[in-house]
Amino acid sequence: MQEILSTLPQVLLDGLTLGAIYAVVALGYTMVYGILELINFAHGEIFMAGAFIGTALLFTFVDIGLALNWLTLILVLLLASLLTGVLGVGIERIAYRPLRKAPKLIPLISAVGISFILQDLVRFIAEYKTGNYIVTGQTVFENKIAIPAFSIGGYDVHASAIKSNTLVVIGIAVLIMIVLDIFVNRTKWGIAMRAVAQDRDTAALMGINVNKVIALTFFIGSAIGGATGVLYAQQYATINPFIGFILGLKAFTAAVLGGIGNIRGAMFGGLLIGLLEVFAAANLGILTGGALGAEYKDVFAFIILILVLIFKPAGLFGQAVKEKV
Amino acid sequence: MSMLTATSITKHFGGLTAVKDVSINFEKGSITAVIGPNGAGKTTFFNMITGIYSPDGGEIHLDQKPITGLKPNFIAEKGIARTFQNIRLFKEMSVLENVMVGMHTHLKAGFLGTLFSTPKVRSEEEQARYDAYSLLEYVGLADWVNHQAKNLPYGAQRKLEIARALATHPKVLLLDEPAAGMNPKETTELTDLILQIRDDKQITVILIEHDMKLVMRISEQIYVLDHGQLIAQGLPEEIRNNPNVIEAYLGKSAISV
Amino acid sequence: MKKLASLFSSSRTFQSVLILLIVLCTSTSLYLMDKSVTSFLLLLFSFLLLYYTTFSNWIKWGAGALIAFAVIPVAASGGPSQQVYMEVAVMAGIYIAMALGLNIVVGFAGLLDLGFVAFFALGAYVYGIFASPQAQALFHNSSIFPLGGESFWLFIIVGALVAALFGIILGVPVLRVKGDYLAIVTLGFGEIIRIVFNNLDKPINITNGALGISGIPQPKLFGFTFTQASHIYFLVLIVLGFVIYAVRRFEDSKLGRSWKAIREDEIASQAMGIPLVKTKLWAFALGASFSGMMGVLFAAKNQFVDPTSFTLLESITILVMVILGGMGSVPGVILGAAIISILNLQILTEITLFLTQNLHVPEVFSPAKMQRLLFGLVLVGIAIFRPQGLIPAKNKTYKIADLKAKLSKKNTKTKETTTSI
Repeated sequence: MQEILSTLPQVLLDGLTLGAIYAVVALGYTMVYGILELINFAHGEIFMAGAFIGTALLFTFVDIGLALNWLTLILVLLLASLLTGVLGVGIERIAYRPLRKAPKLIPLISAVGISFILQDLVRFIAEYKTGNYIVTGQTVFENKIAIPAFSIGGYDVHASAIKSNTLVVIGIAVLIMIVLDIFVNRTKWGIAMRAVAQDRDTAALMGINVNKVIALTFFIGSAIGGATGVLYAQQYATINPFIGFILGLKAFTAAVLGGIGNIRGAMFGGLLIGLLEVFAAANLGILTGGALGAEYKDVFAFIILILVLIFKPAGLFGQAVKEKV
Repeated sequence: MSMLTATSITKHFGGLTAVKDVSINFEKGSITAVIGPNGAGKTTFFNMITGIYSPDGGEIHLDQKPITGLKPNFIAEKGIARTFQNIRLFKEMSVLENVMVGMHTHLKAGFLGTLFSTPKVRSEEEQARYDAYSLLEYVGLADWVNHQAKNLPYGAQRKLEIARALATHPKVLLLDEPAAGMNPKETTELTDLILQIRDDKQITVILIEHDMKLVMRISEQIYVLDHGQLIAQGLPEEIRNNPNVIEAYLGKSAISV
Repeated sequence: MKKLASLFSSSRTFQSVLILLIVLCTSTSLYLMDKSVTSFLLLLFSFLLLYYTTFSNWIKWGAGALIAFAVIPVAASGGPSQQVYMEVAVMAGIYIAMALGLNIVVGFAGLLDLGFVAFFALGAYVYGIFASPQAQALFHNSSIFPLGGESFWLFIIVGALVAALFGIILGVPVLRVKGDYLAIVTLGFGEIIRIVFNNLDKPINITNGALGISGIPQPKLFGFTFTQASHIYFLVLIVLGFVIYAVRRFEDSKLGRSWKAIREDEIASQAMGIPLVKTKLWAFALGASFSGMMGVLFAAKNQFVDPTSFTLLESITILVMVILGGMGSVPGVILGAAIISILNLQILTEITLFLTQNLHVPEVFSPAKMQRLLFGLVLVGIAIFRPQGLIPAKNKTYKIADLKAKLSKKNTKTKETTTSI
């Protein structure tokens, strides 16, 4: 107990950071699923592409002698999300739109294919440019903020340190979530999006350009996914073309946990899974007396996914949808 | 003797009550129509009988035995078969296979029997094939045996759904808008087919239908639903002249005129 | 070309002469020349031609078996590369059997399984753990372990059962919910199994962790040990033969029809009396059991297993085989699996070797590294342009005249009996 509590502040902060990343990626899954009933397997790879685009841009900035500060970071975030947004729209146009009337299995297969293509393309480019597909990028905010040790209720809490970047990640992630929430609930296009998600045919009859709305959904989902990739690269420095896969799986779990199609649910699910994962990684060894270690942290999200599917398949905030007969 | 009884069954969807307190008794070997304007709850009523929805209140009995809330496959096993409003065939499978799927509950082939292709399994398969073929002949689809179900003309698809339902050897056959999209000639054929099914096989037929000519011609009893409630019942002539029914279909002003 | 095709389909003499010629030429050149990938591939191509001939099924299967059991092993035995060819053939056989297993799940039942390799891993590890000295680390005082190569035959069945059991354990919760979640759950399951095997060297050393299990015995029968790939080849052929037989049986059975019905329409299937979860579980368990079986073979052939053989890429490779060949089509899946595994094992490496050695192309361009790109393109391309795959699935057809004749005979028979009463 003492051991667990002593590292708690660090665990909470790390968990919140990771959770914020999961949450924003989960938004992309949940938005696309809400509108197309398609698990967009490529979304994890769009996140990964964002991380690489951001890293490449920062390298370029250093090369041309720009100083790395919050302004360049914002510029990189905007450029990277623009590019990944366009990437997402392109994927939808090429690989999903022709399959909208096909049996459900077919677009899923196409999505898996796109995800593999993206992984290998990024791997190829990275390896071609740098000789190695594992890339360590530039970090804009490197300094650390120390939190001193303190004692609470008789328990000693260790000192912890956070990168200032942690605050940037959490701050921007929260900002994205708030803006998206307002967009979806208050603006004309957001309402059109929800209408298409509920009933595509009726929405079309009401004069909504369904293709445009779907493209917009992909653009927003991919753009924020790509921006999260940039934040991820900032936070964890080292990236490779395969980071999107497991992370995507966890983000999807977060989306299911929050009730697929439910945007606020996805945010909550992401934070919860991030916290649980970091907590498990830090304390699994302590809790099981050393039998199981941090290497099982990836198993956690998966077990949560199974449990949710068994006990609450509609998620914490979703409602069960029955097929119309 | 009653074959199927629904006793004050109710179904809510969120705040909407799709079917409210409906009680209907279907006599053995009868042909009954359930009619009503769109959204009256007819299909929901069918879905409760066939187990796709579980009623929020009330009971359903088949042959005096309770079947309320059972899963669809158990209800099919007990002897209720149906067709669907928006045709639900196994599109990629052949016409013959579609009917053979209907025989599912009557085939006994087990895992090992299938794997080792025992004589028993082989003769059962052969028998099923002939039975399926004879059903196709019965509904007039004998020439389509090897076609994919999705390639059939619309009217033929509706007939195939009926053949597939008959393959389950049902006691009760539920037809959800069997004549929808059919031309007059096809509708006449269908009418004859339904009458024939009842006469040959002693099956209790219940149908939802908007084609009033068909309904008036073959039903012995008609039940009218509106806004989820039973508003009228009786013989075709009684229903034709019932002011409540006219109101439900045409609005209040229609009567005063 | 068109003329040739029509000549092929119309004349059986032409078919037999062509196939004989191809088999003769390719097998001779394979026998005489040491390394002739082209003739090896052309020899395999004769199977495809055989499939398109108009001979009766018995003749096709007989000729196919003759080529597989006699011609290929003899032709390949001509030079020092014998074991290389046999190795390729063994791996192709293992992949074909696995693809046929996955085809039950994806092709027949319409359930997307993205972690199929997990069941392969289970089979491989079950044999690996109990038949190798690893078992002694587990059961210190037992004299029974390790079980040795004689137990291989038993483990073919045990591997199948264990894989099926895990298929059911995973399937029971997941198959209840909507279909597309299955894809993500199986994807996760595939990774989890790998992580678990990678870390199960503590607290008790069961799998020896990332180091893997070595010293797995080769199959033994009546004192004969299957040491070479050319020995294992025959084992694979027999198991593969059984798998094809089994899949064929199930395809046109009560169970097979209910799989396809569920794939087409779950609600209508239920209304026909088909229990959804149970039927899907059968598909899941049966597909898994094939994979588990091949895992045992794989472990026995390599004498070594470690977690790196069971990555997501492997699962996707098997999926690509099914999709490329044609979902639900047994000949298609066999073709797809053959193409992809040979591409993977031989052609890509040959091209890479040629490019890097002869043309001095930098290694980063080597096609062998671009499997993911290649597989991704195949998946997207097939999904968009040819979802039915190379050889589309066909429904079994029946002669209407036969059905009619038998039916009328039966009817008169029943009439006779009724009148006699």
